[in-house]
Amino acid sequence: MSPGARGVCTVLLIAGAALSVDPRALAVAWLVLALAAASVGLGGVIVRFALVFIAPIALGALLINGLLHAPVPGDQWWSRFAVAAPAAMALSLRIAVIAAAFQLCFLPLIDGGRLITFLRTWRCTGRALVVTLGGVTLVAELKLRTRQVLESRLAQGLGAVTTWGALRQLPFVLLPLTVYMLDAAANRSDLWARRNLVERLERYRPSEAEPGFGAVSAAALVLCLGWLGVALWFR
Amino acid sequence: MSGRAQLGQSVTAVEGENFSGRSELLRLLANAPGTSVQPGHQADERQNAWLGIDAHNYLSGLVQTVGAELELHGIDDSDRRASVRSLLEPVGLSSLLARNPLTLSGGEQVVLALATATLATRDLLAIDCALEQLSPTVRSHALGVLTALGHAGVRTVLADNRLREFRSQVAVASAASLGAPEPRLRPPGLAAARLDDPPAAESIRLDDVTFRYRKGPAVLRGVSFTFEPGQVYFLKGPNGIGKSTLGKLLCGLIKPERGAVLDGHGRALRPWRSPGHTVGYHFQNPDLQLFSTSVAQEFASGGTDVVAAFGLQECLGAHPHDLPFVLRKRVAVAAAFARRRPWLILDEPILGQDDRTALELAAMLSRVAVGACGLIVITHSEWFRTLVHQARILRLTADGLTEEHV
Amino acid sequence: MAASDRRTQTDYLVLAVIPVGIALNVGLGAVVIALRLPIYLDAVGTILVTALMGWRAGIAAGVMSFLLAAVLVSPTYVYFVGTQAAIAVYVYVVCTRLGVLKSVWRVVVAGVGLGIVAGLVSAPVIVLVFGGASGSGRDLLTALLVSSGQQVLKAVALSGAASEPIDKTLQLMLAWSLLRSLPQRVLDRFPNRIGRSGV
Repeated sequence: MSPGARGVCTVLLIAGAALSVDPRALAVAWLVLALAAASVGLGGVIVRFALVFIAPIALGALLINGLLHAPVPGDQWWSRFAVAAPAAMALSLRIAVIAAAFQLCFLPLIDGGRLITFLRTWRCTGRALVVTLGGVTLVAELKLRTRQVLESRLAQGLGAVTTWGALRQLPFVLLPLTVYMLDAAANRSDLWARRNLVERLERYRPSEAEPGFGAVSAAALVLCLGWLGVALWFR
Repeated sequence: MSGRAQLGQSVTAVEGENFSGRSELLRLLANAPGTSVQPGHQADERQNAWLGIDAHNYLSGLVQTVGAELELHGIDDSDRRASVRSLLEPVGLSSLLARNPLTLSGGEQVVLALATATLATRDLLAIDCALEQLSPTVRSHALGVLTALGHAGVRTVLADNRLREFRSQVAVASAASLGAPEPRLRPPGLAAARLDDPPAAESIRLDDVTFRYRKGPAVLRGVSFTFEPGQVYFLKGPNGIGKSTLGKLLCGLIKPERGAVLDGHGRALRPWRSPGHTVGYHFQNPDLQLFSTSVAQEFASGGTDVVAAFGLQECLGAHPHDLPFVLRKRVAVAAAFARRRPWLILDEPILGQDDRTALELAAMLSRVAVGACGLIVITHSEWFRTLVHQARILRLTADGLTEEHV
Repeated sequence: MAASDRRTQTDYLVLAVIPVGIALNVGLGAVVIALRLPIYLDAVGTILVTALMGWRAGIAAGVMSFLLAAVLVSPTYVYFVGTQAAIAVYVYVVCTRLGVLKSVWRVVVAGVGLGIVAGLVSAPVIVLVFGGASGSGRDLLTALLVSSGQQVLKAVALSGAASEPIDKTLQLMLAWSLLRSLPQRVLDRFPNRIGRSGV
């Protein structure tokens, strides 16, 4: 998809989800997004998010909003929750759809290294671009260095193989990691200043060609516009 | 800056021991304004590039691939692109442009950092001990490329503790002649005699061991060898071949995909069940191995003999990360010794250490090995390997582990 | 170095340090989520960057880290960027300007205050976006308050003020102990507002 279409589709999806109140429409939208995610290998991420984050929120929303409704006299105790259920479902599905749209938009870019072009298309340049790219790279680097520090401790018989054991290592692990990263940041800033890298980044154009506005982009735009229409219609 | 005037046309190495002021000199030379401005380029005081021993700090941190890193530094517009590409060849980086720099081995990162530094420099490239992490072949090739670039106006000045291994390839000057600041006080050296006896070790046998990282090609393929205690083994091989991987396997940080790790009696050892107990591992980068806010705390669980043996008495109260690299490395190596493991793997223990310290460390390794401990040293330094009597030299290649007989 | 050089150096330093805050927030946040721990640990980076580089850099680190975490960890982070901004401002005012980071007890008190502020700032977001639910054990407290007749916004704010301080105090203590443990060699490279006033 072209970066422009990608951004517009994401905005349309989020707008539609924010405006929609019908849990069935939202459920269908989520399913479509999950399938689209599966087609690019991200199906597991979307589903895992729904199970790990959305399900507890749905339960919590059901509980709280159910309690907000006065019980109907003569009805079962759970009737108040039955009344709250559609709203709680709509709320949870809304979050799920927005989340899926967000993840579908950005995750392929980060994995594929096409983030720079996308950000530039959407006017994220200059300092914001540097900080975003730096953040993305550093998140991956922190993961690597954490593993290396844990390995170093393990290698000297100081660490632990279990996750709880690894957690107890946190204070010992955080010191070298933080020192390392702050030192590296100071060195890096010196490097950027010395080599004009921030200015070079402004002029840098990735050699990997970005897909233009093609059939996929057009189809996605049509679908997303349709979704927005559906959301507004059923409001 | 009189020092710059003394520099020859291509590659000059600054001779000197640790604390003799070489790093400060290189920094002075690299900060000095450039003497030539190419037409079409902006006049910029920052004409010089600097590359330190922690080469991974000299990658931009803004892009995700090797190719993008080179493009960001302007390889496509550079009149040096052919030279820079040839710099990448010995480690295969010219065909690995889609690799994430984070996944490169230490030596590969140094080569990439050197390539980008070369692209970034107009006049002077200062390299502070970064080449110590390269295998002799790669280093020789790199020096050849830098020498050739000298004719294109790029001068290189470097400091390297393994200078004796490549003196013939470079011009050599003393730090004093180039205007180095006053040398600092040298800390105490190593004293092998002060080390207590380490615990006795048993043999470790690798039996047809194969290992690959997730979704990758096999790094170790059918490796079989028996490590006997009371020996110092030197492990050598090209950058990125899997020396560290072999070490991690012995230590128990990773599990072989196939094959077994056995003890002297043929029983399964399974070091991955309790990593770091039979075989300790000191990694190349000391900064990720210093966990305390004082040097004394690093030795809290024992090792007063090690502190004395490594000449660290004077820095016991210091914050380990406040020490210069030379001493941080020494503290990390000493801390590994202090854990008292029967087997110890040392990855580049003389990184950043001058010849005098290397000699002292070699004496210490010999003494430790005689006490029935087992030592495996990974190093690129051919000279260091000759210092330990009766050391056994192992070469790791794509075909496996073989012993070299001198 | 000329004064203009020094200004540019600090500019570059800010650009390089903000990603450190981002990485710490995202990394630590992801770890506790993976381990199902009842804490967040997702603001340690913000606190650190604010202490070293000031409130503007702190806000940038906090906001950017939550946007990135929204992609890499959980999209629910995106709604709480305001809380991160509030954390940065609070840390700057209370900890750097007022210098409360001088003893562990002051840190604890500051942490409780931070938790209350974070809980209050997040409450409207939780009500508007999540219908009052946070997906954690705190929902039980919210439900209890609601069932006793409290308005949902007030219930969420109160449950936040009760539960957040524990997490935020932990985070502030962690950041404080990290700052105290940093070597002088590293601290010297930063404008370092906290270091100057003595941590």
